[in-house]
Amino acid sequence: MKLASVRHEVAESPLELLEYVMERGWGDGLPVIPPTEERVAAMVEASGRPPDESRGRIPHLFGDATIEKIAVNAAMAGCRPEYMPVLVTAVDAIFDPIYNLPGVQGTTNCIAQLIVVHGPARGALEINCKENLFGQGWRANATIGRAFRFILQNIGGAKPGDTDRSTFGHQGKFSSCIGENEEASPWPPLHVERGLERADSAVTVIAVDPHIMVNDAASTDGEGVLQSIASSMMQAGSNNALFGGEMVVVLGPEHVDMLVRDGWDPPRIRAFLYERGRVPTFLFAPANLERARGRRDDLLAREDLESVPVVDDVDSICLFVAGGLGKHSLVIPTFGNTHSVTRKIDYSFNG
Amino acid sequence: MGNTLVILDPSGIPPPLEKVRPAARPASREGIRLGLLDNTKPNSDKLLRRLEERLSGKYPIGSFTHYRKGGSALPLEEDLIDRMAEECDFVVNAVPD
Repeated sequence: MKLASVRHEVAESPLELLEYVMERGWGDGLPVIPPTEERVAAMVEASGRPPDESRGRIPHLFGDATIEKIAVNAAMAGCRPEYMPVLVTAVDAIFDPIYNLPGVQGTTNCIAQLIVVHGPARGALEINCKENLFGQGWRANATIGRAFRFILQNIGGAKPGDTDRSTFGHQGKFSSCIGENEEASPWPPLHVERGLERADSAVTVIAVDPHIMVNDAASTDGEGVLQSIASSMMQAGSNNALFGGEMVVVLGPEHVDMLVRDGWDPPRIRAFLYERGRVPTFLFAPANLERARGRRDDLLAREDLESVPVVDDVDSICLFVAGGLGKHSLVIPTFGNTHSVTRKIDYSFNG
Repeated sequence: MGNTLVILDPSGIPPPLEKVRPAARPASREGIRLGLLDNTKPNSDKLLRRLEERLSGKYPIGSFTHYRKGGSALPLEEDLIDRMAEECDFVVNAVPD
C-alpha cells in the first residue's frame, strides 16, 4: 500500500513522542500511539477504501480528509482498525450543509462534535450505550471520539487557542462518542425513525453544548418526568433560545419505563416537550430577546409573544434512549445554527 | 536519540493557493455606490449607521445600501453576494459583538 503522508523520525520513548506531537499542535495533551506505516496501513485496509480517496475538505484550512489522513489520526488516537467505517461515516456526515460545519468549527461557543452510533455496529465494536457512556472506561467510545477530534483539529486545522477560538472549550472536545441504548425501549431507534433499517448500522453527528442532567426520581408518572425535562430545556441564554435549531433529549432507561407504561411514544413526547419547553419572554434580557426576534422573525416578529420555542419545530427535538440505571435523563442544547445528520455505515466492501 | 521509529504526519493538506486579484478601484470617490453589510452580530447595525453618518459628511458618496446576512454563524448567501456585486462598488462588512 502506497501512503503519501510526510514521514517523521521520532524517538521510541513515549514521553519524547508526546513532546514531539504537542510541539507540532497535533495532540490533545494526552499520550498518543505512534501512527506508524504498519498501523496506518491496517486502518486503511479496514476501511475497505483506497488511501488517496477524499471524503471532502474540512474547514478552516480545508485540509483534504483522505482515507489515509483519517487513518493516521485514528491510529494516533488508539483506535482499533475496525472502528474506521464509523469514522469515515462521521466525516461524511459533517459535510451535510444543515450541519453548518464552517460555523461549528469557527465559533467562540463551547461546542463538542458528538458521534452517536446506532445498530449492530455498537455490539460488534463494543461501543458503550449504557452506564457511564459519556465517561471513561470504554476503548471504542474513548478512541473513536478522540480520533474524530484529531481529524477536526489536524485535517480541518481547528487548533485550540489559534484557529479554534472557543471561549471555554468543552470536556467533550477530548472525546465524544456514544451508542444509542436501543434495547432499553420498544420504540424505533433514531436511525430507523430517520428512514434506515433496524439491521443497518449508522452514525449521527451533533454539534452540542455542555449537557444538563435532569434528576427526577420523585415523579411516579411519565408526565412528571417530561415536565422536569421540559424545564431543563427552558434557558433564555442558550443558543437554542436565540437561534432555534435542534436540541437533543437523551432519555434514561428508568424514565423510559415510566413513559412506556403510561402510553407515551416519541411523537407525543416531542409534542409535549416542544410546548412545555418554551422559554417565557420575561426570562430574557430585553436586548437578547430583540436579538432572537431579529434572527427568528418567522416565529418572533410578534408583539404579543409570550414564549419562545427552543427549536425550529417539533421534529427538531433529537430524541433517543441511552444510559444505565438511575432516574435521570439528559438535555443537550446545541450550537443552534445546526441540525444533526444521520448516515448509514457502508459495510458493502465486506461482501 | 536512542531507538527511533517513523510516524506519518496527521495534518491535512490544504488546497493549492490561488492568486486572487483585488477588485479594481474606482478612479474617484465621486458617486460611488457603497454597500454596508450587517452580519447580525449585536450592534453591527449601529456601527454601520454611524459609519454612514461619518462618511456621508466627508465624501461625495453616491449611495449607501444596507444588507443583512441570514445569521453570523451561517455562510453568506450566494444570491446576496450576487446582489451586492451588482449594486455596489464597495462593501463594508461589520463584525462586532
